[in-house]
Amino acid sequence: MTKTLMLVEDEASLLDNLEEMLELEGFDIIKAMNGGEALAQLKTHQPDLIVCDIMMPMMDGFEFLEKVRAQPETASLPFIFLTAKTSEEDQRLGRELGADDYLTKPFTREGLLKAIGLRLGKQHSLSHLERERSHQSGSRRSQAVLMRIAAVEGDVKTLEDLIQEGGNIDLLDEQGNSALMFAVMMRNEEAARILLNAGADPKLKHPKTSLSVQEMARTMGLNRLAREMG
Amino acid sequence: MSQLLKQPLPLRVWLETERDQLNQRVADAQQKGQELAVRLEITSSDRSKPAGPHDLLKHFIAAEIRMRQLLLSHPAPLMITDDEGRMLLTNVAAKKLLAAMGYNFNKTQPVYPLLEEAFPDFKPDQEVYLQVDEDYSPTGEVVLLAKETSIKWQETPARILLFHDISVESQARHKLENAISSLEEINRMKSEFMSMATHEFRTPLASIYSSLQLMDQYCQKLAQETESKWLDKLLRHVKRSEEAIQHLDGLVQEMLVLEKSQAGRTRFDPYPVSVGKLVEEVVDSLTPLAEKLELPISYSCQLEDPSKTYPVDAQLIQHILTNLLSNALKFSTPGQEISIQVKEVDTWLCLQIEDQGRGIPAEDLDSLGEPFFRAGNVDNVQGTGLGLSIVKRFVDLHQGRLEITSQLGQGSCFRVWLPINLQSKENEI
Repeated sequence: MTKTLMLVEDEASLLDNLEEMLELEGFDIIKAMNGGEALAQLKTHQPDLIVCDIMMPMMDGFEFLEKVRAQPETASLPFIFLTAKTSEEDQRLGRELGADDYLTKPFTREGLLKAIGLRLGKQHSLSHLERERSHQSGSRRSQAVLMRIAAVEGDVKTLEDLIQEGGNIDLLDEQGNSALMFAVMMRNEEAARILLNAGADPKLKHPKTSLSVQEMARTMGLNRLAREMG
Repeated sequence: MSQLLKQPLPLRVWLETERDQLNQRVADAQQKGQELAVRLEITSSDRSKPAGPHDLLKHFIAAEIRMRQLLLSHPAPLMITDDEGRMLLTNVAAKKLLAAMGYNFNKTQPVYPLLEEAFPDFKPDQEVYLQVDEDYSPTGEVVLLAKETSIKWQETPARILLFHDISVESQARHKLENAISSLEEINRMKSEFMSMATHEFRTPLASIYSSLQLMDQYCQKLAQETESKWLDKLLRHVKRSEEAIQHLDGLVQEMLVLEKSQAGRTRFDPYPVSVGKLVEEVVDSLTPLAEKLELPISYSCQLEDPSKTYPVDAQLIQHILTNLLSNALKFSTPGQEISIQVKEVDTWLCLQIEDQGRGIPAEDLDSLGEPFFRAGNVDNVQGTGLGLSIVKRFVDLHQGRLEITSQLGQGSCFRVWLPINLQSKENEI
């Protein structure tokens, strides 16, 4: 199914280039030139992912992200900042507000496509896990599903209990996701460390993006965790 | 018990004894006086006779007058006050100062102000700011520094106050302070300008770069459909422009890093880090490029325990290593080996990157690390001249040192020395 991306950028020529570049990859595109315009678009359109600049007139990227996260229907939408602001403080603020990634201008096509693929993959894996969770209820839920849910939620206590019970820690779901992948995708570093210590494999490849867990961690900016996986 | 009573001396004998004693004392005093006169080089008015008590007295009175004269005509304001701050003596300069401050002394019955009235903020060894008339100082203000000594004045406790006029020094200091604060302001504006300029650079750079990447893709698509000799040429120019943009972006990036470190805004967080592993990671990340350039990299970790941790800032060390290793790659030709070593020497951790490349001319070695300096033999190898100055600053942050040795045409060796005992923020990660 074709994925729809929302691009928010005030520089018209860059916005057009982004559109062209991503349409070539087969995405549908919704464009907006500032946060206000983008919010209005969100009332009628439901994109699968948002790529957004920070410094824009009317409503900047930070404010727009806050509003996106505040609405239930868009709260969990993958969100990537694409900006000329490179300071660590800006990156930290972006992540604190719930951005999934932070790319700096000028960007490479490969870097942008990799980031989009990773975030769409995460969304796909999470919605699959949600389906698994609703299909299996109570005691019928398998240990592996419970472990993946605990990794997503960062529920360290449950995760430790499940590890104690034994079983295959790297049991993959139908999409090829391990519990460790979920912990990394959700930036739950503590959960990831517990799984790593219990023997989870950081070399497993995430099928959707063909990145290893370690590469995923590095892409997500979790450099220290990625180093510990070495 | 019987008591033997002493017979009183006859008056004549008693008087003679007393006279002899008195004569002896006079002779002693004369002797001492002459000795003193010799020591003080006092001569009698009659040169044939030794100096007598009269000469001594005259001399002491003259000395007393001279001392007072000296005190009174001393160019710095001087005053003697009692414990209550009453002025017992003021010299000419002090009177002039008090008059300039507006105190009017009646010549017949002068009434001097109390010390705390004239100088309410007075404290020894501290500056006193005073308003004076313009005859005294054209600016209408003087800055004085007061020195105080406790003395006895006519048997009662008192103190001498001596005022130094430091108006000139004070003015110079103010000028200097103003100059410093305006320099700080200029520096802050420079930082702001740099961050704004780099941002403003980046947006059009992103547009150009994305257009080039699209052109690159279209060229490739076109090549699948049609054959033309112009297509290769077009693609070559697209690639060249892409490289130029990457270089420009690198320059902007490095200028920002350098500016940040010069302004002291680089975050420095030393934590225990397995440096052996960190080096391995940097080597791994650059290996694909090295293979493409046909430059073999050899890494030897000479630590007893390769996973031993050292207190370093992982991000800064990664930057240092990546920069030094990239330089080694840039300045080597295919087949030349690049070797990396990590070892402990006494209380230092040494990271060594050695290449067999073109080397650095001896006359350029001292200037390496200065912003925008590039050695004379870089030819057309791309670079900004900022990389090494950033490396140097990051090494300094670790309280380490950078050692560079090189032989022209034989290769260069960069050693980063880091102290093992640097205070780390955490004992464990």
